Amino acid sequence: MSIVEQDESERPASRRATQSVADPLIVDGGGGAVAATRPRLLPTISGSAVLVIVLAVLFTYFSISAPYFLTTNNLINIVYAVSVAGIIAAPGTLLLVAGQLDLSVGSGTLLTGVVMATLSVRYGITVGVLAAIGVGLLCGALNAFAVTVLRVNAIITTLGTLAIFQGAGLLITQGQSASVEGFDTLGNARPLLNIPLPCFLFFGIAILFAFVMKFTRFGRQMYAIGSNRVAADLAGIRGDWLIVVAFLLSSLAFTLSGLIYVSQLGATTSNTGAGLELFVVTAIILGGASLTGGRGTIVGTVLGLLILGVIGNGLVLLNVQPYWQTVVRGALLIGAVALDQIRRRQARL
Amino acid sequence: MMSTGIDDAVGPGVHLRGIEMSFNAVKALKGVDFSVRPGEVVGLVGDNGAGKSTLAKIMAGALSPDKGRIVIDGTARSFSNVRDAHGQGITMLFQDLALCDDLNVADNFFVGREPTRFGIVRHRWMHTQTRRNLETLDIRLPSTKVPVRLLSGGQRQSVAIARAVSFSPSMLILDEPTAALGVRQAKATLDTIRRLRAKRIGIVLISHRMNDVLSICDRVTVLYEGRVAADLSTTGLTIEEIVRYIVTDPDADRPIADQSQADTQPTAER
Repeated sequence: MSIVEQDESERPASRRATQSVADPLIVDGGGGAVAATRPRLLPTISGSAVLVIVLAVLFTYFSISAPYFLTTNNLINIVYAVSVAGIIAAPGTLLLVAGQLDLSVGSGTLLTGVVMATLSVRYGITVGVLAAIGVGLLCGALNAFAVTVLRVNAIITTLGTLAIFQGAGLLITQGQSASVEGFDTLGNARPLLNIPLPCFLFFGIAILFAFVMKFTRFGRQMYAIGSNRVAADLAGIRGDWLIVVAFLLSSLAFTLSGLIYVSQLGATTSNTGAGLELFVVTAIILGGASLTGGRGTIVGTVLGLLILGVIGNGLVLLNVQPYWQTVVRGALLIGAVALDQIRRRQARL
Repeated sequence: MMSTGIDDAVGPGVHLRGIEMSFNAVKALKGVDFSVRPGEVVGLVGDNGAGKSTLAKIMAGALSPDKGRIVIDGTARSFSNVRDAHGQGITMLFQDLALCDDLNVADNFFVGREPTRFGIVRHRWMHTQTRRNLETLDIRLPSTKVPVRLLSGGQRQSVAIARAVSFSPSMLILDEPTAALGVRQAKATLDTIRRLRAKRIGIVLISHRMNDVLSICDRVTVLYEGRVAADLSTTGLTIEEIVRYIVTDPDADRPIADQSQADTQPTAER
């Protein structure tokens, strides 16, 4: 056991000791803002509050400049547009809280969608769906295996499987599209108030994950392993098993996303799910999750998703070239990480 | 390896006898005896490389000794790892490894053993219990809802100690607990250690701060190049005396008649 040897982490304790008291501290998430030893009267803003303000500003701006923006139908469209990403972002947040990242969600969506479409044509929809779930879980197990057993960094692992799943999906269809008949409900049904089913799935899954992360031992321990893996190990937490479960949850989420895509379009195309990982990761980081783990909330992620959705929608309504959306999204990702760095420095992290 | 021999290691507390440990060709410990009784604070001092950390790691289960026995309350024990030792009542506080910075005080307190009711984590109960635990050690924090990252070094140390104590260990090993702290914070940590003594926990304090050692320890064990140079009561002891033991080879100033006996033991030079 070399626990002792891994001592002396990045920053000297003395620095924390002397400086953490003196500065106003900004804390994100549910924690609120607290000063170390004496109460602070300076107003400090929590991360989620910042996101709400940003969202409100965007809302105001687009409402004024695009008349159609503030209509019920358009608001539903905004949520509809981010619902698939939202379904993936819920377990994505859980993973990032544990310090893990799943970049294979986009190509996983393609692969599971292709499996579903291809097999449904020959064996029926039930078999197609079950096969997609099976393949999805295998994908998740592959990610989990590489990360926990082979000890390959999660970013590298899922960058690799991003390519593998994409290649596999395109091999199955030979780069063609695969179409399905009679699988419209999942992606298109509007069961209540004209709101599409994927929106309900998004909200349901978000609420479920918010609950899991706040009120279950599993969720709390994810924060612990993301914050300090060695301390969590010493406390008896089986970190690797938790990470395996989280990767499997992520794979179930991209399977659902694959099924929704197939249902929406009635087919898969060669670029189904492409770029989804960028959208999801941007939303999660924007939502205040730390790349190094330990911090992040579902509320933040949902706010991040809505900000991305509103920007995308608003730019379309303002007749801005759609390619600008991608540019803006990339810039937001970098901006969000930069913001996180500033926040950390202020919190003497 | 273990045998419960009838010797001086039978009383209550933790007793190490004849501990030997080598790293490749380097003999770090050459037959060390060390005891801590319930409610006793024992200082473990010595120069760099004297073997303090190695001995502490052996007690904490992080290393397995090549030779020697560990006897706890009269029963021979061995530890396969740190968690095993922890389960058997010996806990070592590892600097900076004890706490999860992003978690609040109560979450840290209960990390790995989160209390639930019907599968739901009982946050409020955790905060109440944590506050109560901290109060028994007279540790004052603004709130148990603060992420520990925002606490001062002394406060973090206190939280880590309080957490370790909540497992009711029979022995707690503190490796340089005050090294990174300011004067006031160091004093608070020492005060906390005094309260642990009242709880009948045996404390091992590894420290370079001789003032701390003298003010808080009941006994001091001095290591010199892997051997026990002295085992002293702190009553009437001065810093100069401790320092003399720390820097003097215990065999060097022995009478020549004893030298042959000393030669049969592993020599200090390596």
